[in-house]
Amino acid sequence: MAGQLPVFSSSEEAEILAGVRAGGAARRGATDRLFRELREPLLGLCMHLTGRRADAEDAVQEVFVAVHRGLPGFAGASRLSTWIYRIALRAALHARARRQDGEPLDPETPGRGGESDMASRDEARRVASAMARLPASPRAVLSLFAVEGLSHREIADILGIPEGTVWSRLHAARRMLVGSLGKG
Amino acid sequence: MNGCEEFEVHIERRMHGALGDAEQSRLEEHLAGCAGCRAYQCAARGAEAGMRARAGAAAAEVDWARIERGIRGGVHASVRMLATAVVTTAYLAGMVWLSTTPSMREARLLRTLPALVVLVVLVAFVAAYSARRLVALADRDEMLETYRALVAANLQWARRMQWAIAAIVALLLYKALTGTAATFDPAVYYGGLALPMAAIWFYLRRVKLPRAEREARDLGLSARGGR
Repeated sequence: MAGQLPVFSSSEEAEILAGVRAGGAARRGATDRLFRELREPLLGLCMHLTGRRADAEDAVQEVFVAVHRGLPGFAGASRLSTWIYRIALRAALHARARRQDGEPLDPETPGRGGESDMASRDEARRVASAMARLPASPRAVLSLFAVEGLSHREIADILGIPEGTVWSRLHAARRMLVGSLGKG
Repeated sequence: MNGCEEFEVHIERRMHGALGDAEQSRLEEHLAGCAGCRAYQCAARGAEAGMRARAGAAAAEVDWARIERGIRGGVHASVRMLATAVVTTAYLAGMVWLSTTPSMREARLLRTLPALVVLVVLVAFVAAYSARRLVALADRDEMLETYRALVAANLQWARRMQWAIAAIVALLLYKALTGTAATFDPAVYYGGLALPMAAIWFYLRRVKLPRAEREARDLGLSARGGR
């Protein structure tokens, strides 16, 4: 399913890092695996943060370039996926800043389904517009919670805040989103 | 505050599988009698479902092979940056050569050489920094706070640099128009130096600074880069 976070166990993470450090084909295999497993949830996160697919694609590309360069020096102070999501947060915010003010978000995707599909697409677009009006911090919290499979503990780790704080941040962000939806 | 905040947080916790059984029962009881919280739950679920649907639709349409090619190209971006530095250095060396009277060319080029080497080293440093830029904050706690501080500092730096570079360009143009020298042509030499500096100023003014301002706004910083 799109947006599903793969949960690498400690041994899988160690395996990936060993592959990276071994270099050559093992490194390529390890980075390919990371790309295959993480590309969709990262794209989802970047979509919510940037508001536009083209920007999200740029951000995902930048994330994997940074991961490729940074992995050999990864100290293991956090989980590997936490580290990658932190890179993604910054890449997405940076990609969004590259967009000129007033540039439109994604146009409506041509519908293939029936009325219910159209309604859900409309709702998704309305939420995307409302998200685009929020500042970075609440957008980040809401975006991380929208990535399926990401636990609140890992979200707290990614944001570098205490576990208890993550719920109040989510609640405040949701209130802002609801307010923004009302304005749209 | 409407007294429902605690339950709204419970709604969020339940949506993300982090609400205990006892709290679930309390929440259910509350929801049965509170239209506001039911509306909140509906809005929260709807928004999250909409976000996930949008991400899923986008993922299905992405050309991943193109992104993979982009990643492979991006990995070698530092090499491209260094190549640009070498070309720029060659341009500057050529400018020194052409602006100098033939008998003095070699001596003058040798005198300029250390400055050209410094330029390449500087670009190599920027390339190395830029390669580490995204990774640099990934080990920090309160990542968004650190990022905000960094963006504020970048904004201040870009604002100062635009004026400093504008002043240098003005000085070089003034020297190009009014300078006199026995061993070289000031118009070619200073004019040639002013050209890349003007390009840097243009990039800073039209691309870098507006981008830093948009980033600062997004992160909740004021126009001056403060809170």
